[in-house]
Amino acid sequence: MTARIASRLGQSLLSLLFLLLLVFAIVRLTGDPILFLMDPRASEAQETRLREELGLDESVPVQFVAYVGQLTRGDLGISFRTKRPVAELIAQRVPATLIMGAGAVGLTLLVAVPLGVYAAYRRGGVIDLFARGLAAVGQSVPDFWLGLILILVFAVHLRVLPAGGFTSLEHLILPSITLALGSIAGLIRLLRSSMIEVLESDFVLFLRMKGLPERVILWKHALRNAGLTSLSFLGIVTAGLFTGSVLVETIFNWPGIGLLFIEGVRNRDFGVVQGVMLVFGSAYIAANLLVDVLYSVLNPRLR
Amino acid sequence: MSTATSRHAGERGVARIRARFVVLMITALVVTACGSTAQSVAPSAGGSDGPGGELVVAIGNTGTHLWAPHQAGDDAAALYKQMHDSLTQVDKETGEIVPMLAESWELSDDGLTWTWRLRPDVQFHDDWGTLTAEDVKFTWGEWMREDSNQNVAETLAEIVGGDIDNIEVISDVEFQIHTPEPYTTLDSFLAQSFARLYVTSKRYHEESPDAADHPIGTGPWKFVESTPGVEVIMAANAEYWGTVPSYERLVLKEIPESAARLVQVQSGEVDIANLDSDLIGEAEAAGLEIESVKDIATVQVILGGMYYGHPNLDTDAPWIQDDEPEKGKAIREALSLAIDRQLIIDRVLLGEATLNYGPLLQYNANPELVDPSWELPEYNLELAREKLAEGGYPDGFPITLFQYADDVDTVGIGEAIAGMWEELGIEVTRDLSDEGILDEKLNAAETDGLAWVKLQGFDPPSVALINYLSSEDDDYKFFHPAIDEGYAALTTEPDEAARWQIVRDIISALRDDTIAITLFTANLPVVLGPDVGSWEPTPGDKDMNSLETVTPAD
Repeated sequence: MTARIASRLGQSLLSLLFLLLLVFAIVRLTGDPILFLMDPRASEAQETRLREELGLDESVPVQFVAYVGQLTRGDLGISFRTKRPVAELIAQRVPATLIMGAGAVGLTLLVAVPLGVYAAYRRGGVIDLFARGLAAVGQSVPDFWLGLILILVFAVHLRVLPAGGFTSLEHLILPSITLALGSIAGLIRLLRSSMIEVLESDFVLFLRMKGLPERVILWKHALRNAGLTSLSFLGIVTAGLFTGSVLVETIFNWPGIGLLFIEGVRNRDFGVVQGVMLVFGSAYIAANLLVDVLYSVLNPRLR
Repeated sequence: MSTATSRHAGERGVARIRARFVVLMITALVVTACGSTAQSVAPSAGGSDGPGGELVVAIGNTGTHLWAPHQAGDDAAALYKQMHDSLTQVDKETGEIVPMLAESWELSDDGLTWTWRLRPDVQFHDDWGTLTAEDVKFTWGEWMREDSNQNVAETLAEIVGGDIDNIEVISDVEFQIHTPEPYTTLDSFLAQSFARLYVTSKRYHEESPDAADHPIGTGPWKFVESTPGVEVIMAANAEYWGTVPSYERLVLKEIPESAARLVQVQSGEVDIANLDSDLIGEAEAAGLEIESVKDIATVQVILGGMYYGHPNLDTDAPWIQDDEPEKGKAIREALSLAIDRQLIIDRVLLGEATLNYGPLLQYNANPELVDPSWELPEYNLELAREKLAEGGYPDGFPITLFQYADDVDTVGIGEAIAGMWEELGIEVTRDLSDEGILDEKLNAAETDGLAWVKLQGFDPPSVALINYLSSEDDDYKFFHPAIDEGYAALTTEPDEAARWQIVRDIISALRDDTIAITLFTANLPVVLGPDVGSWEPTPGDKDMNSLETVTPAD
């Protein structure tokens, strides 16, 4: 297992490096950031000074090597626009994204797990129909559309929930629902089909013959087996939720790293875009790695 | 255990699961409803709380949150003008330059010395003393530093010949500015929103360790705190020498999307927000009031390659034809005649613009900028076709319309013009992109085959014309000899009436040659929430301004 993890770690680092190279190159294809950072009235001397200050007077390969060198020292560089360390800007925004992500993950588990399990247990029943309907809707509806509808209904017309921002936990409700619906839908479907397969297996029949309560069979034995495939899905989804949906944060003006990323793109702030993409990439890679480890722990055949 | 027994056990298990599930869902719904009900009874931050409460204003960008005088750039203008005053300002009604921190000023006969007298007993925030001439000199010096981010740093340095000691302090309330070259329009320059010298305290910056993070000024609002990318919070300055705010607190929230700003006004979380013109209908349908900030920019179409006297002049462009300039002029006239300006105002800008007589400099609010003999540009498609043939292109020609988003709906305007030109028989390619991409082309003077809708901000003529001088080293839009000659005369002419005539002559020359196709003067729509009673914005200023004049609804 240790060798397996070490191998996955090596692959992850290579993936991260490739991602970094890709982002570094692509942002520089969008044009000269100095023209976006400075007012047209700025003088040529001011533009030259800023270019030197940001290291943009060097060639792109030199810039990349310098950037990688910075990263090895834990320095994510500076924001081209605000001159503040990117790490500081990200640190300021991460709590908001984590809170929204946690809300969405919590909602996903709270809704999808019982629905997925019960839908499989009582196939064809009312709950099953509801769960499958919710899954179909959740996977069809774009999150940005859902967010706008929720805002219109609950914030504008009913005025029972806020339209955006983050000054209280109440602000968490609509963004969490918007962000969670897609993953709820996916998890319901996956868990339902896995549970159906497990519930029809011989070992469950054996457990029933032994006289174990249905509750124990369902939640302790069947779910554990059926949950393995859902675990991978949950890992990817969790990474996606925690890196924040850029669209959802934009719609709800949620001050997380997704919105920071949008601001970076809008302002041609290469420093911020690179730093945030690095965080996003690292989150996905870390989530995949964690899933692999958990998989090994839960499935003795992989140890 | 028998099958029957296990089945009963299973059914009881199912019933327990179902019961728990239902209880869980009901609990969740009840908690949500209770929380939101409690919150709707006592709303959290957002939306005015009535007289003496909090005013929440949504803007697209709260800037870099770099507060040191030399670091704050154009981004911070919307924030700085709440906290600071400048020496002069534009009168809202007449458009004239009137006192602000400066009580009076005069220019010497030779045009080389400005003498200023400050308003006495103006207090800085947080008990940092009285405004003096030393503070003005200090601020000027900070703004013109070599490492300054201020857009006007170079201009301020040029005005004093690069030597801050050309600002001579005579007394606490009097100082002189000695200019090596005549600069006859300094008072109007300092009144414009992008050039305002936001005076701060010299003593504060020398003595306080917090100066870089906590700005102070003399304005109607005092800085409290800021969160980059989120909001800036200010408190009313009860000792302000001018209009004291009606609200205790001002929150400037950063909401980049116009639709999101409108939604927050509709939901009551925001009191005032600027709005894209395509959302005006929706705001009015929701029963919200729209306030227009008048004359924020003139709008015109600029045709590419028009670098007269420069090697990059696109001599073969249909609208230039340097070997047959009369034909080139006929094409420019055709393009102008094909544009139904009123239709664009009505349908694209929803009334938020006014037809004007000439490009770049002509604002209808200032009668000095209009010659009674001028007529408004005409819309006449038949005549346009005749002019097209006269210009040697009866079947049209290709042109690329470069479109980018700006403070006014320039993309919508461009789209309308593209359609009108296509009706004329012009083959229009739309290039929807970013202003920065256009800036790259402008810096290289490589705009052959292009046209674009250009906003020119509400600047005094001497300032606006700087952007079109052939002597500038970048950002080449177009050149015309009337601009170069007019600018030289304008900045050295001491007589005000004569200066206005020079400006009219420049506009006249641009009109006659149809250089830069005149469209209209645009307003900035701002939506007001139901809790806002009134507001008196300053015309010509595209940033949120004069928020101290906002009063709550009765």
